[in-house]
Amino acid sequence: MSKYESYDEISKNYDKTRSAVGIEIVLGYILTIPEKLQDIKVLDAGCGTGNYALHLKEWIPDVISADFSQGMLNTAKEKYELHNQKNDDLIRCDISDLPFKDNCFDAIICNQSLHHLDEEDTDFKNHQKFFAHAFKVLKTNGLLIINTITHEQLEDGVWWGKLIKPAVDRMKKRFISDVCLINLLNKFGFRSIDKVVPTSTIIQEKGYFDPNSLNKKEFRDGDSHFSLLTSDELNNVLNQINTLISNGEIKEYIDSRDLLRQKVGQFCYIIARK
Amino acid sequence: MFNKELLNYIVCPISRKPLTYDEINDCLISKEFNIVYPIINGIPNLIINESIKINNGELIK
Repeated sequence: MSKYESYDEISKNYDKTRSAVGIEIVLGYILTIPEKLQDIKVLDAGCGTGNYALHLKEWIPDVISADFSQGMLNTAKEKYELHNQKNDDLIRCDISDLPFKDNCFDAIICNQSLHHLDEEDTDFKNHQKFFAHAFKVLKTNGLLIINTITHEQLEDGVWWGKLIKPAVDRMKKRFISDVCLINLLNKFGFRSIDKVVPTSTIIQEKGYFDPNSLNKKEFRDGDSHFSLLTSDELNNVLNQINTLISNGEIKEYIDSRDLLRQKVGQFCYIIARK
Repeated sequence: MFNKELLNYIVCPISRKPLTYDEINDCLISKEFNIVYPIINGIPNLIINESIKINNGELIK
């Protein structure tokens, strides 16, 4: 459940800029499960339009897709059908409540969804509900594979991060820090926690280095930050970018900012085992 | 069309007990709390705030 974005509306543009970045990391960890892929059950918690589940379905017959947004789920269902994959295994739910039987899944993946669970300054209570339920519904040795963004990556993971500082500051209140996340996972009983940062992967690769991309709503819809800017703040950001463009300074600006992105990456995976 | 195999995995998010499929009304029922969960586009909606309370055989939101 997003506390700040209308995903039924965003589902119309989401796939124009978003793909299953980091799927190789997900698959790599899933391959550590001793059972055959044909025999395991995976839950995509916060599946969105099903980009990750679609990849998993190529290898794993039993992948359940769960999301709060009917619009996202409808899009995912159509996509699975289009790719000749099973499309009658979607559930609309609040992933904080994970309505599944105990000891059910070999792995749960949760890609860029945790930050939609809680309002600001609520001590990440819904995160904690999700971790508690995830622990229960996972089988022993089951994997919780979380794709999230660290506070450092919120600032420097995209070249426009400094320009949208008000949104980044608000995002920091919604994104749990990686240290707190790992502490909470330990608190709820998870163990063997890994952190993987793919520094060469870009989330919105198509159009990322095009300075005009941010002038397009469909590109901005692929980045949750922009929904946290007021219209005045957004206009100010676009004015700054257009000034850099007209002054011929935009390439140098993007290049210098991208050095930071290459260092910190745009996202990370936290992988925990029950 | 609802996939009945899902009943092997899903539970009522309130009672944490198994759900029953009502084929006539195409919905899921949590008998412990007399709650109905709608199915839209073949996708069960297990969001607590959007569930429907059953009273005397009728569906009352």
